[in-house]
Amino acid sequence: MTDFYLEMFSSLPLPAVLLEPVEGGLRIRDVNKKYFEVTGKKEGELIGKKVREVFPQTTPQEIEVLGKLENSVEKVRSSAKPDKVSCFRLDLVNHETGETEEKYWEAENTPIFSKDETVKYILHTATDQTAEIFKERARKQIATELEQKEKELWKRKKRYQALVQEAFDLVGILDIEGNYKFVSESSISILGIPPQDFNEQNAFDFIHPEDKGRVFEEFSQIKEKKKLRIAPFRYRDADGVWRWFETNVTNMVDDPNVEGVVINSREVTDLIQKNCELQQLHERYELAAAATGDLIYDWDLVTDSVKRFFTGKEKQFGYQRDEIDQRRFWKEHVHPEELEDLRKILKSALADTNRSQIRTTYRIKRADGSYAHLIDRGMILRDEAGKAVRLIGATSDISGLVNRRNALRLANKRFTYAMKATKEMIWDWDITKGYIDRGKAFKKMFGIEVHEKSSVENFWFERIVEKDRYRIKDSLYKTLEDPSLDKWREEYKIWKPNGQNAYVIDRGYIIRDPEGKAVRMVGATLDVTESRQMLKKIKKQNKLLKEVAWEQAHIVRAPIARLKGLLNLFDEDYNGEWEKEEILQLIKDSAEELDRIVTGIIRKTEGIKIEK
Amino acid sequence: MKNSSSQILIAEDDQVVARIQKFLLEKAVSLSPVMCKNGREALEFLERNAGDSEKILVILDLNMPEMNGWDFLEACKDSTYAEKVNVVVVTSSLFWEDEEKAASYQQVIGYYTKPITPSVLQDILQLPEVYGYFEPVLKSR
Repeated sequence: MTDFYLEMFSSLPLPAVLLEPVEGGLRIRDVNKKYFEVTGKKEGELIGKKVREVFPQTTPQEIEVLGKLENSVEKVRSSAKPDKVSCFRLDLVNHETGETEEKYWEAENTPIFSKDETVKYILHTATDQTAEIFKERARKQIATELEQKEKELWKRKKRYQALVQEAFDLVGILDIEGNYKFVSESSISILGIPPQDFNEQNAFDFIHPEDKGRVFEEFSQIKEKKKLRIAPFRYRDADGVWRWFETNVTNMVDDPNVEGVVINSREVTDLIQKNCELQQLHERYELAAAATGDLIYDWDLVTDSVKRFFTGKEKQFGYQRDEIDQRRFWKEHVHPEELEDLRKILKSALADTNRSQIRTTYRIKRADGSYAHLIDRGMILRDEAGKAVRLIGATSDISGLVNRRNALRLANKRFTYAMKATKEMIWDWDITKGYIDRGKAFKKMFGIEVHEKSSVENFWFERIVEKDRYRIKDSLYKTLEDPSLDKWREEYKIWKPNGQNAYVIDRGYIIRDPEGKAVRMVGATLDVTESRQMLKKIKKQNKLLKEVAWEQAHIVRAPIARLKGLLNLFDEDYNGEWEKEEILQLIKDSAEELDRIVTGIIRKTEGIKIEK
Repeated sequence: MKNSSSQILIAEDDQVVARIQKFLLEKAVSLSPVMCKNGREALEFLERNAGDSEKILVILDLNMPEMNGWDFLEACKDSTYAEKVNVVVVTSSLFWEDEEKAASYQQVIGYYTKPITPSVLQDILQLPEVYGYFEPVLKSR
């Protein structure tokens, strides 16, 4: 029986020690094979020795373990019940490698009684828990790592959700054919379409028909490329509105986690619209410049850069476009006499925060050396602080206008002098409305002041003397009714408010509509009373002078004719009819008569007064 | 009987001129002209004698007292004898207007300025209206 136990003890798979409580400690009475294997000690080093002798307690670990063991043994002795020592660490030296190995154990102390029921021995067995501890530790480590990874993943997910849901970008995964596999939550905020609505949909079905072909062509290149960018295209939103998107495409078909093409679309509708507006604005500028022939400019005062718009002419002032676009072009071509003043005006206007407009006129040198007259009108744009940052304006070539104005001034000056000299009254008759507008000369000429616009019928005709009135009305209206006539001229008398007659020459130019109907007539009335009176007097005087001349011609010529007749007698045979002395006396008488007549004429001529 | 049915009448207020004209006429034609001091005398003569005459040549001055040459022409033009009377104006006037005015009268066949010369007188007598009515004076005489 004893052998049986011994054999059983010896062959226990666990390391086992039979301990005997003795004075001063525990003595090792027996050790099984496993124990020897585990500890690597020999029989003589263990059996019969006290535990504290065998285990030197050189390390804190050994001290702790021995303490626990002794406490447990003491507990077994006093309670006479088995006791377990929970898992503890006790490293052992590997006899094969010579290295200390980390080992974990569970121990059990079981009392073995003597016949008197007292605890005689204590069977101490240890179970190697190292594998379990290591397993547990690994499990815990894995669990920890998993937990950390889960946490990380959760964070990432949250971050991703935050990024994707709140982002302006639309993220999706497509297969190589463009079918949706995934769409981010941001599709709701961007397109108003929930992600699930994209299931089993093809992306190209949402693209504008005009853009579809191009986008498909660009997208198809992703089969050969890792990444590409698709130029802006129109994409239909939940309301059927076309929105512009720019898309980055990444090929992740080979990535097992994705197995698709990742698209990242950014809405660029505003940008496109702004670009369109900008383009339209640019075109509008160009058109405006083309239509008006003006040069429109946009001067960034901060960077001192100028953008100029003009397409009205091939060349402006004879210069090529690139010449005009030069930054210093303006400063170098403004007339030297005006440059300094122009600078001062500009500086003053820009510095005055209340000014929002500037208007200048100056001359600029053309390519052929002549100068063009310009009028420059600009709007000053200011920042919040009132500083001028931009000047946008238009420059018009008013050379023709200036030349015409100068010519007009000259003509006006001449006209004024002419008006003063001729006493002519200008009138403008709006035939359609029926009133006539007369110049200021009217009062001066006729002593009548007209405040309101008067009519021809009830104002002018009434002033024509009765004997002329019907003739003038008839002549005027007949001329107006004849579409082939554009001029009218009549002479007639009018009554002045002072009761006197004025003799006038009235001339008008008729303006007709396309149908030939007279719509307007502009003319001038000339008071020729004085000249008529003068002419009448001159005619009268001429008549008188003529009569005088006639009479005198006969009187003067009479003695001459007689003289010549008498002298001719000397060529004839006058004997029998005339005596020579008689002829000579008649000649003498005639000569004296002639002398008297000539003397009388001279005296008479001296007496004639020329009427002024 | 040219001379018996034709008459030459000189209407001239200047007696010296009238005498010269008469002298030259008598040297050229074989009849004596009738002398009148103004248009009235000439007109009265015509009134009395025109009926007996086939042709009457009037040498007419324009500027005369009582009745001038123009008034004579006016009175004569509508007379019953108007067709018989041919007038040659001989005036001291150089006015072109006078010549033009004179030409407007049907009876006026010539216009000459004083003084007339023998050659002018020959021109007058050669005028178609009076040519052959007045017998010239024979040279031998």
